Amino acid sequence: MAGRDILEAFNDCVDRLARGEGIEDCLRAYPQFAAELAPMLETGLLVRRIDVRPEELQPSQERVRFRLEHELARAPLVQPSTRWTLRYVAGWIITFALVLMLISSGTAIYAQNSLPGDALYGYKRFSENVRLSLAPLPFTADADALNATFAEERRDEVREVVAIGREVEVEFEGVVEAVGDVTVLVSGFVLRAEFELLDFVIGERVNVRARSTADGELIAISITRRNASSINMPQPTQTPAPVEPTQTGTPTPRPTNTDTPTREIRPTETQLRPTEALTATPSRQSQTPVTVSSTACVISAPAGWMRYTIQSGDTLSSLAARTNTSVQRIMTVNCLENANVLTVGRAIFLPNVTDSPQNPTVTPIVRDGGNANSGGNGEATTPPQRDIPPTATRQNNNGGGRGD
Amino acid sequence: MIVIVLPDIPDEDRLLRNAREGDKQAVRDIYEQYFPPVFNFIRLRVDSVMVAEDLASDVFIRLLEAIRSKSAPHHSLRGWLFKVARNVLYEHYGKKQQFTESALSEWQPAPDEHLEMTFIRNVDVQAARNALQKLSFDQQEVIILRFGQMLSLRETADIMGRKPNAIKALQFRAIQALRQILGEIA
Repeated sequence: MAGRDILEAFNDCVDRLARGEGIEDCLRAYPQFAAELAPMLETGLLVRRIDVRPEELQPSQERVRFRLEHELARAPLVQPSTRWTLRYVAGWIITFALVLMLISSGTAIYAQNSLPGDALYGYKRFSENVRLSLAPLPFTADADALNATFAEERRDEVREVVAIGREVEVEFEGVVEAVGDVTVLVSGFVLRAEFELLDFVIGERVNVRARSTADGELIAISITRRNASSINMPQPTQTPAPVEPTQTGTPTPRPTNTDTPTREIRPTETQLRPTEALTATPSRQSQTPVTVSSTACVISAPAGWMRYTIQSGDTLSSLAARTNTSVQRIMTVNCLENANVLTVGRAIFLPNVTDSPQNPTVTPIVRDGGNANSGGNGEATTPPQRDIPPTATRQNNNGGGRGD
Repeated sequence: MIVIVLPDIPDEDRLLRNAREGDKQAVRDIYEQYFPPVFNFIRLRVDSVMVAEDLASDVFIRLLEAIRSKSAPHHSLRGWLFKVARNVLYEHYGKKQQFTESALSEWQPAPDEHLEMTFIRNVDVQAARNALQKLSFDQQEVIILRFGQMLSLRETADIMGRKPNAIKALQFRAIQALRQILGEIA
């Protein structure tokens, strides 16, 4: 006990000396140890006086100062970029770790079934982006494969959204399969545009922003060419190149993508199945985009030509004879490759021959309500006039109305 | 001259923070403030001014390296410097495989500024230095840190890598041993 106590007393006195107190002050606090502590503390104070002489310290301090300055000048103390990069990398590592935790949890699985407009939909897209950003790592799926998977998911979502009539904004990418004046068919989706459409090439890959309506319609907000800067924006004042009725007799095919054909797909048209409507593009089940070569055929209806749905028994030669044109001409305009293959129900363009009353079968197929093929005559009043060459359309409509 | 570094924690921490953020002037300020005690700590235990200078220089170069490699301390700079000085000393003696015997023989007594006890007048400071050299390395160290540098018990324990209770016993025995040697010399 005494040994421990005197150790404590000595330690306390050392602290008191360090604070500037005198030895006597401390000895008064520990009278029982005063005799033993006094000479020890005196010896300690002696050590305090053992010091380096200034004439020894100062030259050394100057020489070392010189070395230190040399070291300081050699390089900056802190590499700013390194510091920033480390923080940046650390931040991303933490972010990825959190996201991976979330992905591996049930939240992501639940979110995977979400649709645009659902609470978890943003999270779904976010987790997909994270998976994409991880794609360069060796253990992850290929980025192209992921992109294809996600693109198909987008289209599935749109199909569901349309099916349930949810009003929401959607985005997806797809392949242009047909183009009309106010509608465009992209990967099986009929998009109604409230603005003039640019001249898309059939088979062109596009990004689509659209909103779905309660009626299950898709209204295009923007259609953007992938890998291109041209964006299709609403341009209310712009009108397509005027179609001259006088050209009806001598239409010329315009196989390039710079033309402004007059064509239309009505979203509500049931008879005209979108994927079969106009083109030689693959069906919607095909996920491989159409390769567009420089000689890609563009369906381009010359002025005065009308849409016609192929009926059973039709042949190209009979249609050509009825419309006073040639088989080759019909094939060229409609990008038909094989004259011997015609699909019943398919729509093609034919010259509008309204002045021949004995040819009532050549009628616009652009219909409402899906009864376009019921004689095709009297119901041909719904399409907006702008969808049909002015003169010929009115004649046709009038004629159809009278014939009813 | 008595070199005393009184704890000035806010200023110490501020200097340290600025130095860590790349402020070279903060490093210079640290150097001016802490070179004397570090040099003294080393000089008391090596026999050559030049060796002490080199070792003290190493301490501050290591501070620079620590700042550049983001391993500099965030507080208790003084303790860190003494710890590094101690490592530098151990490395020095590790190379030489022996501790100095007559490190302090060339020293002269510091000017007698304020005597607190008549006892001190009668004792040759030179003798105290020689006596200090005869102590064990740990005993020298604890006396220099606790009496010479007036570090706290905790700081000393931290620098020496011991527990505070061990330091209490060590400093007691060290002073007793020093006193015994001084008595033999006398």
